[in-house]
Amino acid sequence: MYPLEIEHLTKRYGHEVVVDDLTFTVTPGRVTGFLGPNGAGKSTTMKVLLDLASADDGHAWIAGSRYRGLKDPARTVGVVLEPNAFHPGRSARNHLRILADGAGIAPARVDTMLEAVGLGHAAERHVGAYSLGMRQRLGLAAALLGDPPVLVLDEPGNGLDPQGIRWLRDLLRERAAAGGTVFVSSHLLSEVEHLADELVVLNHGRLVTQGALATLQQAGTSVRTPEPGRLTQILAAAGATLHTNSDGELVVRGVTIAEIGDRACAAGIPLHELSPQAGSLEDLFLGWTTDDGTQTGDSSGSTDRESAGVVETERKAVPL
Amino acid sequence: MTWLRLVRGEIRKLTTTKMPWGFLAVLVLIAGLDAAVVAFGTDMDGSKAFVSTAADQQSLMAFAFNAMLGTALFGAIAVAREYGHGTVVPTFLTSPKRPRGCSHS
Repeated sequence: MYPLEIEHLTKRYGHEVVVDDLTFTVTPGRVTGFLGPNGAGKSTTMKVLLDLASADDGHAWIAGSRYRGLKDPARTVGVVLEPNAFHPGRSARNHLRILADGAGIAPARVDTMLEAVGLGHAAERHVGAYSLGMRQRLGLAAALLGDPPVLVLDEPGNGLDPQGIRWLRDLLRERAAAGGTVFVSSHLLSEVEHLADELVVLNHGRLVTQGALATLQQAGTSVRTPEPGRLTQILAAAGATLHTNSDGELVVRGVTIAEIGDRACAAGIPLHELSPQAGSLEDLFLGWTTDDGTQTGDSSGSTDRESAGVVETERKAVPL
Repeated sequence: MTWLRLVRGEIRKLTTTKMPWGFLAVLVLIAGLDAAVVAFGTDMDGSKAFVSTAADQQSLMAFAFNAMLGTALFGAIAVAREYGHGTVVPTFLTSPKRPRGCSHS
């Protein structure tokens, strides 16, 4: 088992703070999605984790040791960093052979992996003539070459066709189910939604939220009722946070969908709609990561929550 | 033995793209020309006029020096291309215990 632990990680480039006091853990056996807009610090975090960049503060551990402290790093951690880290004039087979040579992996694995990622027919072609999707597949083949228990993948879905995404999802799930650690970054929410069990969301180098995808996704329940006032009171008393949209839709967070129904029924309040918020993850993501001039978790929001507040803004109402 | 594996990988790197072969061809050409000049243009007693004076011999050596320049140029280009193409990253990942000065961020 190889958990990844990021502890109070800070990284600066010049005066710019790229990663700011970041702490989270990636547990084995789960697919962990690393989400954030472009420039949020995802790649930098991964580079520090892989000892390709040095941290200004804090640590990144792989199973309790630094990357460079691992016994056989190339066969412990499979990495996809950039889709273009290939010599354009070299064939895919030779590219993998070089990696296999360096890491002491049996040459037979090269052809096995080329077949596994669907590049068997193009193995002798120059990588320069490859499409982005094919390069991405080659990158994945390289990452899987040593059959590593840990996968660190930076935007592996970029340029993959739907079949490729499906294949990637199945592969990562299989890896995680076998006890592997899978850490996948992306800025594509729809992709992560289908890939990940756990989410770590980053914005401007800071941790915005983390938790199980299922929990985050069902964070909101959409309710319509002719008596919103009474329902709001009852649910607020039950510890829920509510938010009324302009069209009269109530967004309830903090209580389960069954509990909302039960309480409404007990109080004799008719419900016209009771559903998990469709596409809520995207809204949540935008809420987490859109800049509106304020910083995460500041001023009003937290105090409102304390006083069993009734109306909260979307981004501050995320229960973890 | 890690370094031996890495050397094997590097040799394969050199033999799987065109550029090193091009440079090798240039080197062979220079060596061949030099050998041909020495074989057919010189004589112990200086009776063949082509390479006879000390200045002639110096210019022959100067020509051969191109081979060294070419080798040095090849080294510089090869390193630059490693970084340019990002193919150096897998090497760093395979052997992360490099001197600090080598780390690129």
